[in-house]
Amino acid sequence: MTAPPRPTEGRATGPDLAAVAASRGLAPEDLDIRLRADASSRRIVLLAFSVAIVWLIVGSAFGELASLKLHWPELLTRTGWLTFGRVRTAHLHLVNYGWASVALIGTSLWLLPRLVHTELKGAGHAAVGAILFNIGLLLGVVGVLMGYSDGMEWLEAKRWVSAPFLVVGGGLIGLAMFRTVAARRTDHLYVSVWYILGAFIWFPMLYLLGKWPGWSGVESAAVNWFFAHNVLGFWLTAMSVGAAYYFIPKVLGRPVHSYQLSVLGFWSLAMFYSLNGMHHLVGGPIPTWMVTTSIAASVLMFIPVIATGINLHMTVVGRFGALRYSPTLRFVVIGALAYTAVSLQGSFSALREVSRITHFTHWTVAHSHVGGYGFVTFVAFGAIYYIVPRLVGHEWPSAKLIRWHFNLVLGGIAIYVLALTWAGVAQGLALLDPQIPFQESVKRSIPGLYGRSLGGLLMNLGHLVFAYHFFLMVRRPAGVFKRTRPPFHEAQPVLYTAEAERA
Amino acid sequence: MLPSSLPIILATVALTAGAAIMLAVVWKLGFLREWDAQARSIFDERDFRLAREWEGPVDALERELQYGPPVAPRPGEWGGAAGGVRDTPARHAAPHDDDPSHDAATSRPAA
Repeated sequence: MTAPPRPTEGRATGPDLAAVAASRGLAPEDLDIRLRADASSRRIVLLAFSVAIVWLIVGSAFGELASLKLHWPELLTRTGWLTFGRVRTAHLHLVNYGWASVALIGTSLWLLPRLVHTELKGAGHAAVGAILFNIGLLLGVVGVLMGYSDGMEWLEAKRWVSAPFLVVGGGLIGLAMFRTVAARRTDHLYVSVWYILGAFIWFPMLYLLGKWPGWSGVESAAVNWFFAHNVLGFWLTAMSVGAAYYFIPKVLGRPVHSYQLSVLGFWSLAMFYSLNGMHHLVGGPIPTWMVTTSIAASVLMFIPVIATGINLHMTVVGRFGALRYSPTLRFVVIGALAYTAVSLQGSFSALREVSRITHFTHWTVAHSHVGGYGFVTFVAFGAIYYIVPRLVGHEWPSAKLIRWHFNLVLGGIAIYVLALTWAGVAQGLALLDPQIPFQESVKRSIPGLYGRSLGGLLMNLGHLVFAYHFFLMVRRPAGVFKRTRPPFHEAQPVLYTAEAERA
Repeated sequence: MLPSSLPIILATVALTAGAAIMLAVVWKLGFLREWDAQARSIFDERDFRLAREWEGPVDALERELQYGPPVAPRPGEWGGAAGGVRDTPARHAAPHDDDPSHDAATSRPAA
């Protein structure tokens, strides 16, 4: 059997296009726009997703190892590069800059041409940029594992080894984004475009500030948390919310509940987010007004969060049944819920009364995983499920593997967050009690650490299932995908018409 | 000697003022008008006509009256394996919705 052609790089024209478009309920110009947009970004997006999934597997394996070491301290202690300080940092770099960033860059590169009705401009230099970005990341992580670090959390990769690749690579990708928007054929810029463009303006500013070689002492602590918190809000959150604003309405076939709220959410994020990071330095040796201002800014985050949360929720309300049918919707809607949860949680935890219990405990790790995993990673999974079939020309091979993936990662993150949240509060309360020795506060958190490792294990297994499924999808084996189980939603398959059954 | 808070002050001013200036510019350029058209700009006609199994008969009828006869979704339309690929070459070869080199009904290359 000859494998069917994949979506073409060229375009169908004339009667062919008109006939095919008509048969699919599309206007010819709509089909033409989609085709050219998808064809222009196909290679770079598949490259980004493939590499991101590799980083996800490796990065989450490092995370699991770091987790095990917290309650099994003698594990692999004789090998320098496998010590806690290095594997934990490698985990953070690989999942944030490798998996989440690269997957969302791929998503943005696919979305943007569709949103502005043109081809991706500069796909070639974007691909070179993606390669350089990943080389920079690899150099940084290998350096960290070898013991070379700049010593600032989230910015450990060596300044003069890794950063040039990341800056040039990211710059080339960003250039393609801006060239694409400059060549747009739309009068409007949908809100997702604002989020994506914002991310590619903010991240270089933050990275250059964070990597500036002149910081020292208290100054570097302030810059450190300014960067680390803003890279979540202005980079990962921006691209993820932008993606959610596309996929949820698109799958449901209904516009976002309130477009005005979506725009309000974007601009209030842009205005209020930047000072948030200082709330991580409550009690630290920095001016009190900085922390207080940061707490105020964190409370102001209620505006974009509630605007976005209500908007996405109201778009789905009355259509929650769709989550049974669409893996994309299932992942993205859960991601959107996690966004609301983690943001409100973050605003409350910025308050001094809450922070005095949760600060320096496992609670913060749970909180960051609600954001980094429950929100960002779930949106990225949903995006990949939606985009890849449109790039390779066929649907995902196995509904069963999608269900396994979903159940494993959702179960894993739920156990992880609940266990660590409980452990963090128990630890924090014990630390505040002068009658309780420090060692006791550690002992009280140990059951939560077992829960963390169990949750992490489930997530790792889910990632392996997802990676295997992705491999099947892009490899397109000569054999035939047999469906031996019910489809994803365990109901009547979408396209099982009477004619198809007879055939 | 400069205070330790200076880089944060400058960075915050740059980000916040930059956002405020950009907001004024995009407002002036007219990007913040015609909200309804903007909200609908991600859709084409087909998106609204696609038959969605999770919608009840009333919603489906409303959709049909508003946008025209329903269009069947392609395999994997919603990002999954819901199309129920069968082990026949024609079904296996089913392309996705946007591939014009295939005929939608037969999954064979269009003439």
